[in-house]
Amino acid sequence: MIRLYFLQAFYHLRENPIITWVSVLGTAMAICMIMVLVITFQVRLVDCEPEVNRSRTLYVPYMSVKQKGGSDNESANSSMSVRTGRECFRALTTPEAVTLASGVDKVRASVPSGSKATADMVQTDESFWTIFSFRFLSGAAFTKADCDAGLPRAVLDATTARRLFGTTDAVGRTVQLNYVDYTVAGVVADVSMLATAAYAQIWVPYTAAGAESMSWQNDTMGPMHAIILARSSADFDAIREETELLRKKYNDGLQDVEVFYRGQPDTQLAYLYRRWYAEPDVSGVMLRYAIVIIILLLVPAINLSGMTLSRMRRRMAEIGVRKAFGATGGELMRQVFFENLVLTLLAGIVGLALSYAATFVLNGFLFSNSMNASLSGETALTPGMLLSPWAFIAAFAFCLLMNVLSAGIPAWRASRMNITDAINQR
Amino acid sequence: MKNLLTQIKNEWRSNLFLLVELLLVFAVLWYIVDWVTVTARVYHAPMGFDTEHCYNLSFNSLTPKSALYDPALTAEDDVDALLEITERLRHRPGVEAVTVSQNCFPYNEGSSGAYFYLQDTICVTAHQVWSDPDFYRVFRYHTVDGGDADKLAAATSDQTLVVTSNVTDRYPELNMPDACSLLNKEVALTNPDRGYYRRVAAIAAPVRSSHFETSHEWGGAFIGYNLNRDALINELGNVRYVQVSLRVSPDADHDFVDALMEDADRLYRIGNVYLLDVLPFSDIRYVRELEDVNEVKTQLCILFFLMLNIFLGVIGTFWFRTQHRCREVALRMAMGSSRRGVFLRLMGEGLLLLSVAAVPALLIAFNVGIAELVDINKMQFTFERFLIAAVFTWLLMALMIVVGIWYPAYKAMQLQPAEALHDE
Repeated sequence: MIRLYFLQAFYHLRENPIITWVSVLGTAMAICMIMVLVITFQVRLVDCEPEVNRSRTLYVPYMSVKQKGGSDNESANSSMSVRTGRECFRALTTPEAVTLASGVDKVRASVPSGSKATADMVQTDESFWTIFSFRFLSGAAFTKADCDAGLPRAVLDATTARRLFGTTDAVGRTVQLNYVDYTVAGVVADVSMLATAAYAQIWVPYTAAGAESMSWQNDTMGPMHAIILARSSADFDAIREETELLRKKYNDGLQDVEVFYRGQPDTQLAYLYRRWYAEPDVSGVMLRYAIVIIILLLVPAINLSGMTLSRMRRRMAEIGVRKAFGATGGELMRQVFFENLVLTLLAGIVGLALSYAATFVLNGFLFSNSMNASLSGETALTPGMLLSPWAFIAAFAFCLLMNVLSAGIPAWRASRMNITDAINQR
Repeated sequence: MKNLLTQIKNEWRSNLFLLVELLLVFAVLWYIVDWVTVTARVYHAPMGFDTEHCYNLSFNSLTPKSALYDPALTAEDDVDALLEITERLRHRPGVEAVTVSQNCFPYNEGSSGAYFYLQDTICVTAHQVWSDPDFYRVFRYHTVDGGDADKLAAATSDQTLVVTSNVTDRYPELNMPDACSLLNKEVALTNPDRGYYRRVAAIAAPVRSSHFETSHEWGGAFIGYNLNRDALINELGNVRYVQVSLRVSPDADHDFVDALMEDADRLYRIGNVYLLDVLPFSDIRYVRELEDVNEVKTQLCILFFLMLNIFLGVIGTFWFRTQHRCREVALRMAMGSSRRGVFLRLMGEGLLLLSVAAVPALLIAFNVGIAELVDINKMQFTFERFLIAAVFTWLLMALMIVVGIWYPAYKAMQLQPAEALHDE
């Protein structure tokens, strides 16, 4: 039976090429635009190298300081100092690992009497390398011992290593960062700027660079962010509770001021939409997405409905005869749905292919934002980011939804049609 | 016309879907067109400054871990080294002007506020321009009466202030929409009055903080203070916190960054101070406006999508229609209607459908506007604004309808009446 529906559907598609093209193109465009939204979203949200643990990671990019008992609005807002990071986050016991990493800073990198480059540098500690999974081309990360002793060790990305040394095999060589000598400990594959938290071109221990001396607001604020790796996302609440305990303890030790986090630690989703220190309006963003998707679905669905209905009208006699020979309303409805599904699935495949193409062509427009525009890296896409099963499930789901929306009214009309009227083409 | 309306009414079943689609798209498209036209009008307003051929330089000081670090040098020495470097930059061939400023260069992401008191207690706050006098020359700010930057530079000193003409705009209690009357008046810097006064020595023209913001928004009005050596040492204390900007003459503006960085170690490192990075203002502007530009692109994508759908919907509906009406058209031709007449009649039907759908859509749109669900921060919702967007929307959709009907109507035009009427 289903095979018959398919054959019939293909026959109708071939019979009326203009209408077929129009329907496929309209649906494909809609699926394409929706899938571009889904893919851009997924690229920043699902686990992929080097941010392999996004789903169980919490982020504290900003913090605020106010006078004890003062209003939340009268606060200084920035990132945290090394001291705040150590006492309020590194001291946590519930998570698997906690790292402190500075914001990305421009650094002058040079080889004595050799090449020079301006690159993006992050100061961090040994836990950074366990939370994120980098692919080392040579050497290894700096260790806990290196960090504790404040040894000048540096990890470079492949591009920077090539620019400075002409090779990625640079372990043991000396690189000057802001005129301070560092030894290259390892070289990693380039990191896409889409890995917001892991991205840099040069990583050094913060104990060796200047992060500790850069602090203000009674040594509470500085250049650092905290990144917390939970054992599983079920621990998030427990970690938030422990964070609150540590915050109170820390505030007790402060003389006039207290620190607070405005809803942080953030999950990956909130982290993505937090701009500056303000609490992210995640539901507002989702509402916007929802409205856009509804428009993208509804407009072509109305189009398709109109056309399917016109096609039904030309087949009225056929439907009448089938009914006269005992086809039930439900059966006719199923047939319309199936025939239409052939069309939407066809369009869905075209749309999905188009959306992957668009993701590459429109990379700059889709992925550059105020947070990464001033950095020197690339927003490179990897297969790991793009080819998640979620994208295909979503595409199929949107096709089905489109099908229900566009075939619903015609199918209902077909099932309710009066036999004599239909045969007489009234 | 009446005939066409009757026909549309009689075929309401097949017109219904097209009408609903036209209505929905008209309303959504109106919203987008309104947004785009408002954004375009804001975008093309004058900026009040000029950053072409300008560069921004950031400096840093060595840490004790560096082999080159000189522990004997103090913060005061660092500031003097920075000032010496700016002096050397002034003498670099092709450089027209150099300025030292703090957190206030054009398209800057951050900003500080400055304030003074009027009528003893009213605190007038605005974006702070904290710079040396050459700031106005580098970025070619001008006075409200069209005077050039030299006037503003001359008015910048430790005893004076520069303010924009709209600095009191947001204070209706002052009843002073134009601040020109403050020229040469003394304003208090403290409340209660502790005797610190500054004279307003020049009124600058309002500026804008980016192409997507108006001069009424933050950054459009500013209060200019002089940034002297004393403040650099005692209030800022680190060369990291200040920015050096310079203007290059158009002839010398080739590979400027590379050449400057090539000389960085030799000429522009003094004591513990070194040149970290040089950025052209075109890059700074790009970063600042990126999200707004992306938003424009997003809106245009949706606009394009909606228009494509109108096209597809129209071509689909009218394709069936011309096939369906083949006999009617043939009869018209047999009765003496010209081929052109058939073509125009179908076009007229499409445009009439659009106009019918536009009426309820415009009602919805107008109510959306009245309810201030459109962006009214940049521009008041007036009838004029409503009408501009409505006309543009109608034209855009009419264009798509004409393009969409073209092929089916062309086919109908080619019809041979004798063949089509054969059945009869």
